Amino acid sequence: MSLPQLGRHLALARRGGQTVLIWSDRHFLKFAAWPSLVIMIAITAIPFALTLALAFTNYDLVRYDDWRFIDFENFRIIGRTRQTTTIILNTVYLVVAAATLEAAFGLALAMLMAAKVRSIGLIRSLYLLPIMTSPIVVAMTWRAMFNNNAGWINYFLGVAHLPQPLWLGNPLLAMPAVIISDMWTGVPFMAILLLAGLLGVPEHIKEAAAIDGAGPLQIFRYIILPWIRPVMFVAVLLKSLDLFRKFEGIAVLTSGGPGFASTTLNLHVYNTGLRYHQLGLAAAWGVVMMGVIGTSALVLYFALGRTR
Amino acid sequence: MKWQREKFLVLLIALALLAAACSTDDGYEGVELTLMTYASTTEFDYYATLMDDFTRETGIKVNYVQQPVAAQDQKIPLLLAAKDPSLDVFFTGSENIGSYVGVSGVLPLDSFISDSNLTPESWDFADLAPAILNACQNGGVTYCIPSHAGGGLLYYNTRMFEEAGITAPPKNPDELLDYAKRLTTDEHAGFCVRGDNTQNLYTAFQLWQWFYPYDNDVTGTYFDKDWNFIIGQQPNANEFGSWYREILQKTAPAGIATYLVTNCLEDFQQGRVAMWHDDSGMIPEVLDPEKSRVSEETAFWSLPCQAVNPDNCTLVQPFGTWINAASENPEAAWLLVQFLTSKETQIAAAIDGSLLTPSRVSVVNNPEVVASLPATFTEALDHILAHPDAALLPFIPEGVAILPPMLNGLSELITSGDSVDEVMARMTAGVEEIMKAAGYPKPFPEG
Amino acid sequence: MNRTVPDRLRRLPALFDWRVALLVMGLVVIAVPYVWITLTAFKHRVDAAAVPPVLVSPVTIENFRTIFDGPYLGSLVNTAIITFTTTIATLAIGVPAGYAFARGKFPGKMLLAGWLLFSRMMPPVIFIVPLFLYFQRLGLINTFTGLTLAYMTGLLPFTVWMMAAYFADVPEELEEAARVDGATRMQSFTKVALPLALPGVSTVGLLIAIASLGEYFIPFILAGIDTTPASVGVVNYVGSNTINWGAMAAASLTLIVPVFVLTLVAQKGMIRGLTAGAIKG
Repeated sequence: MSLPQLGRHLALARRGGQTVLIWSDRHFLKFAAWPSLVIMIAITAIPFALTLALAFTNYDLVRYDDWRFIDFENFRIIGRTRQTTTIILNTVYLVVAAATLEAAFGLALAMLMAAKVRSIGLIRSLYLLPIMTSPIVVAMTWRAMFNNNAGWINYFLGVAHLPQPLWLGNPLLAMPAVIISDMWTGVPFMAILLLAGLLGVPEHIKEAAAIDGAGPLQIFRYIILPWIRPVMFVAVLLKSLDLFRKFEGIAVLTSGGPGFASTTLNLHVYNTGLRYHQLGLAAAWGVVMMGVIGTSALVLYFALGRTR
Repeated sequence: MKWQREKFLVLLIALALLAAACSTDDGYEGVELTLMTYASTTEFDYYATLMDDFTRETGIKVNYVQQPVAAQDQKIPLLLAAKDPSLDVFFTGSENIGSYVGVSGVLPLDSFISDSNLTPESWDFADLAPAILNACQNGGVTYCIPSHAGGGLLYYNTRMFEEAGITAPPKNPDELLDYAKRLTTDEHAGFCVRGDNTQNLYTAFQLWQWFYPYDNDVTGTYFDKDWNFIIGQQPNANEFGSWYREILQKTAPAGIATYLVTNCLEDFQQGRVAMWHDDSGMIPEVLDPEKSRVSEETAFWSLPCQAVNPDNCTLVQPFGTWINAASENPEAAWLLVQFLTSKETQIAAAIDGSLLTPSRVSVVNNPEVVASLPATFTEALDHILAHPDAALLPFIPEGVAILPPMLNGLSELITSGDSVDEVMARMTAGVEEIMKAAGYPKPFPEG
Repeated sequence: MNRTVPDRLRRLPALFDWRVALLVMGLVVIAVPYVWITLTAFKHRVDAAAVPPVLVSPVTIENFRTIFDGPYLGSLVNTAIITFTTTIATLAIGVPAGYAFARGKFPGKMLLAGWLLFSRMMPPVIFIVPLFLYFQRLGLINTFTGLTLAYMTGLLPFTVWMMAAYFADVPEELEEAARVDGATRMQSFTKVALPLALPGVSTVGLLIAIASLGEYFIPFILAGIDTTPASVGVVNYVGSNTINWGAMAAASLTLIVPVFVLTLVAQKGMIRGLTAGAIKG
């Protein structure tokens, strides 16, 4: 069939956004999307299923032909472990504190970056650099900077006659050190995402409000903030998911220490499974972790995501 | 011309067979082996330079892979358990023997050793120091060939000793604690060991040799033959716990609770700590003026055994050369293992300064090697080899499984406010729970 | 704060604007770790870990010699290969899928959406060992194919979401016009929608490339001797006892400098693309 003939066979009717198509075209969307589905399922379905199954066994890499199903015993062990509360609290602490601080500072930075002046494009791109640097490099560098004796942070604090805290050795400061090092990449990340939202606020609304006598603070509170709410939700969600899976930044900086002071769920799953070879127990911790992540995502959705 | 073509084909086939017959005489031409070991470590950096010689001698090509500690320690068990044939030979600490044998991941080596076609007399198996070889044997079967016998010893700074008026290194834990206190000044701390709960067992083990008895060659200072956990038994547990807490809370660098081996090493190299107890393998790092500011003022010492453990009080932790059970070229792999652990290789490595604690008796006593070793070290090494405890982890499959409660307990001794009593009791309970879940008490295994 | 800037102020040099001044100060703070890396890369070993830290010390290029002597060069090549294949593969599969999401219903849409979300939420460490054993059975360990597939599990969700947002921006009327003229759906995708969404595609492609460059955990477990990328190779300078900070800093520089150059070159498109996606989010 020639193209014009094809065209004659096309019937276009709009029903709620859907277009009726001829036979080969009807399947196009399927064919476009199914490779993704096939690949995701092919790669992850079996490992996910295995992980779920492992959570109910006492599989240990060292005695791997000697395992059996133990029902919920792993979960009972988790319930009995002394450090469980600490680990979960550490995780929540990291995610809430880091996400909040980064959202706040990120918004401030974004407001600055929204300035329409020359060379703002270059400045915005330079702020992208921390995000673009390999996390392992970032982690090793911050470890050197936080070193109690040889690190620059304490050195410069000393030069300014400020107290030089024991960053990596004090249980109370270990997590703050992790959060600070995360902010170095997190604040620019949030700023770039929020900048989009800020640039999208229509000028005429702001001008109208200014004409009506609203001051900058009121414009911010009643116009800008609500407008960027959807963007804020996406940004905070993405950042929180990243914080849950934060690995090198903690393992390299503090190894989860001192003791368990900076161990998060992700790090603990890693230790249990890969260092101590207790794969069954690690999988159970993984299930607990998914529960925490799912709950947090829901909480975030109800707080920020629902549009009025 | 069919018959001419046939003749030609027959000739080709004959030539091919001839060629094949000839090449089998060479044995291992074209075989490729993969070896995995640790990166940035002087001993293994040295062996890497020998691989061309090995290829020249045997025709076997070696992929010499060095990776970071974490990668090596975590991937090897994965590869062994998955029976991955891409790994042939590897180096790791011998304390893993329990887990490797548990998954049948490594080849027993006795049949290779006694095969005179593969192993010439000159290689001299008997030359390997028995105390060290012991750590590579399980149930009477040899699973690895030890390359070096890292020993736990005390590194100390002679200048700081002089300044504090101390004339000789300490002879017992009380003196050690006392000197550490005197050596704690504004410029430097007194004593350092690994404090982080990912690495602290290695050094704590060296220290508790002065507080606990050595029961037997299979479970060392960990369990007696009735499976009682020695480390938890009072009054030794409280004695050790209080001493460990005091020396690390009062005389160690700030932040000791997160100290890894690199932190103590760097502090010592930079003249920030006076005494440091750890593996002898780092002597080259400390004596190299390119890396260390204290290369001229470092000496070494092995504390004498205390009454509670008079014969086996020094950590001897051999690094073993192992062959993956799933290797596709076990005989070629054995040739590589022989090469790496031969007398010639060890002497050369020792003189080069990258292997200071060779596993061969003849090499330790070789005059050239002795002349190249640092002064105070030879005395310490003799003492270490004479009183070895090679059971860094008990030689049972659960060796790795009992680590978490011990590592965490040791960390809690310096970080938590709970009494020593409580911490040690918790450690014991944790270990006992794991042993019980694994089915103990079981019949005691043979050495 | 976002009032329109009068024209005469716009023509002033950027530095006179207090916002730019603050931004520049922020950049100085951000730059400190990069300064540390650069200085350390040129230090002798004994100075790199000095206590107290020495900012300036004798300069040497021995660290660069060290890293290029060893397997690091090979790992840089591996990084290039993995980044290239991952970017192409993820775009090839993710872009059409994003289009499908933006354009209507198809069987499996909810399943795919849910699976993508679930995969993005699940940290790799949870399923990495079963994945290792699974890939091992399939012979995918130490292969670029295996690594690319593993990277895709994390990158596909992001790609599909972002491309769905960009395609939603492309007006459907244009495609309908094309179809009235006789184009098939496939043609309206490749000839109309895709060219219009090209800035988005290149942005997402760039972000995928950058994420692949920095990926550490997956290759840590799944890569073998022939396929180890530089992100893991950098950690080779952490030895069993010591850390060779100088060599590590030098190796880090080889990873940072290309990204820095890429960023400067692609800056305009990148910001527009990143921000556009977030609005639709």
